[in-house]
Amino acid sequence: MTPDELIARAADGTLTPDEAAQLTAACRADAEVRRAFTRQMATERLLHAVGRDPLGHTAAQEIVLRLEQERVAAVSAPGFALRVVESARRRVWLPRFAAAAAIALLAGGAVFFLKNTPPVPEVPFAADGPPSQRAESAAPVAVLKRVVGVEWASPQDSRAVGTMLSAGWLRLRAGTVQVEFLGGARLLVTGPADLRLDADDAAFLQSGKASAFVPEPARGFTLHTPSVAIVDLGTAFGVDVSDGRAAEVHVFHGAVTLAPTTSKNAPQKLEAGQAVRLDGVVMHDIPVRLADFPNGKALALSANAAGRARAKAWKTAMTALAAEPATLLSYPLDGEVESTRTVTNRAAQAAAESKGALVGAGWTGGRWPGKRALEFRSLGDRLRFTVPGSHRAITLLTWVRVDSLPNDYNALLMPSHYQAGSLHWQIERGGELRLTLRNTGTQRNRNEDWDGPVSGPAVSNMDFGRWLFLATTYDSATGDVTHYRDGQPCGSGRFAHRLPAVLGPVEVGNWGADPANPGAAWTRAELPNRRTRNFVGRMDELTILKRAMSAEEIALLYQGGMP
Amino acid sequence: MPEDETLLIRAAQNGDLAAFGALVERHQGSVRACLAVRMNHAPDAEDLAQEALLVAFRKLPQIDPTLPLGPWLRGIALHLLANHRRKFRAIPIGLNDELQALLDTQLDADFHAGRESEKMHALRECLEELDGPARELIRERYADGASLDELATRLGRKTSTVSMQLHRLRELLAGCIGQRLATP
Repeated sequence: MTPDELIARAADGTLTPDEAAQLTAACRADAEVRRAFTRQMATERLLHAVGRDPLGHTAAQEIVLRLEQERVAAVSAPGFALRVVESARRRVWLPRFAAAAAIALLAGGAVFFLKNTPPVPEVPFAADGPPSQRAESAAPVAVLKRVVGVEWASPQDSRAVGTMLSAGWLRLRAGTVQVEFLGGARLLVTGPADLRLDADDAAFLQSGKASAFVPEPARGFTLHTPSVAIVDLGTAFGVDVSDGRAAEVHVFHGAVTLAPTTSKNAPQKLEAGQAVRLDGVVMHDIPVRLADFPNGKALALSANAAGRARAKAWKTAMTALAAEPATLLSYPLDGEVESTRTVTNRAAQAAAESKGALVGAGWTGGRWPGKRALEFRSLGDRLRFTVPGSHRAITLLTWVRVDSLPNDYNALLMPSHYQAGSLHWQIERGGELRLTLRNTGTQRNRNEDWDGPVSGPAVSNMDFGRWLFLATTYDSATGDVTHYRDGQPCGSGRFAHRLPAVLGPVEVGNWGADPANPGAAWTRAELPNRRTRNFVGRMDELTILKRAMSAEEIALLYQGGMP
Repeated sequence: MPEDETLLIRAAQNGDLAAFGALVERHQGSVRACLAVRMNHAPDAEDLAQEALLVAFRKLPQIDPTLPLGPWLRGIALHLLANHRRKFRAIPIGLNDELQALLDTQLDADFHAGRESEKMHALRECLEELDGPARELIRERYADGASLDELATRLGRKTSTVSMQLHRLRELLAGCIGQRLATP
């Protein structure tokens, strides 16, 4: 075996003891072999490191999370918890007017208080309105930051990661969600659970298990339960309300005030390392248990693992899609490095000119850790490429994260050269996904020069900052256009002229028609608020097919690509 | 050393986790690269890098915030690595202690000045220059973790051929890294 072969086997990890002896001898005899061996091993190891973290971003966040977790764990360490282990002492809700007297009574025995009718747990707020429509329009109070293994109580309850949440219920049958309140508090809730968000600093846990992490600026966050309201004083705590039975409150860090839901009793303060069980009006001290409550680090790790699994499944689906003869363009935007300025079309039938040229737009993080995305921010940012030919039908698919809709029209895909069949694929200021088709080649820009618009509500401001799957199909045989949002149809209509679709030279994320093209002369006369159409957000996948995909296919793609 | 670093160190010394996060963001690349080059098992190197940064946080109050953080972090990483080797005695390459020692010594000599993260950075750039099939091969092997046999089946080649193909690619990349670091 040659030294190179031996070195290759060492790097592969398949070197046998006999071969190792040969390689050792060769290294001893020849300094060049030793250097080559070292160079190869170092490169092999760096490649593994890069392969595991292609962006070089392995989470500083994760380390900070771990430090936070350690702080919490430190205060609930056994030595600390021992002080409150199962004392026979009971705390009782004290009527406010007689607190002092009650303390005297307490020494004698608290049994009397139990004779006071225990307050019937009552929901301290009015019933909420109809769920989904309201959620779309009302002001947001929180963000759904993470979702791990969640089974929602019903399809209407389902929410995508990154969604802004307004006041209303979150109902889960299983799994864990991480909700971040705009006021700064972070709540992890494990199902089965019913949680109602009330404000950016208040929520009501009707049932389920939750841990709250409340940084200093968010002090005052209040978690209501049927029997008690927990007012946070800058802390970490856990709450367990199972089946509306007695609630448990565990304080891991800082302090909380417990206020009974009924107004008769005085609030009590509970400090780090203390935990209580609330049975009607009586509080029992119990040992604090950190491990029983959802925990950010574990959640982050399982979210990462789930993300990796999804990423893998998505890659397989993308490879299959790229191999399809009807696929004109496949930009999975995966594996590119920071300095990449030319995006490769991975479609098996890729035309040479369909390589994408990046202008302005830079790289950023995509749907999964390690996944890339294009960031469109400045007025000039765009991606340019050419898709030749005219097509009987077309499907446009993209995963985007819309950050805002600053313009009347916000460009997804726009022609830079106009002819009959040119498409405008845009999002309107109000969030409608919109497709129009140029039906004549005239220089005028009258409504009759265009087929459409066909539009449908696709993006609400509650979707800003989360990954969204947008798709539009057009079939010239019927003229039918259908829009999809997250795999579900969200609008449809019909183009009158049934012309084949033409892409040609196009721009993604912007609009700057070539003025030399006579068909585009009208664009210069466009109103100022219509002339600027830059898209603001991220795009981490773009696919174009020369056939109209079915609703089932699009739903499947969404399922397989969900972050 | 960036001028805000002293401020960040001071804040982190007072327990500000966000400030420490910013420092980690800045320095984790060199800590990771320094350990990755010296360890056979990439996940172990990552765990140890994380450990090193956690240790750094605990020891942070003891340091002078006006001095550069990089060399200090690297010192912690190498110290942990020495402990790790003592404790876990990794299986030497080809079960040959002498070969392993030879490699460790040569790596220490080649990387004495802490250039691992520059090399890692250069490697990312060099990867981009590879043509499609080569890049794909590297991606499958190192990002997706495909075995040599899997790659051989997919490419319809012998395993030994794939092994030598990867060898040549590593040689090419090492050359590219060398050139990039040589030019200012």
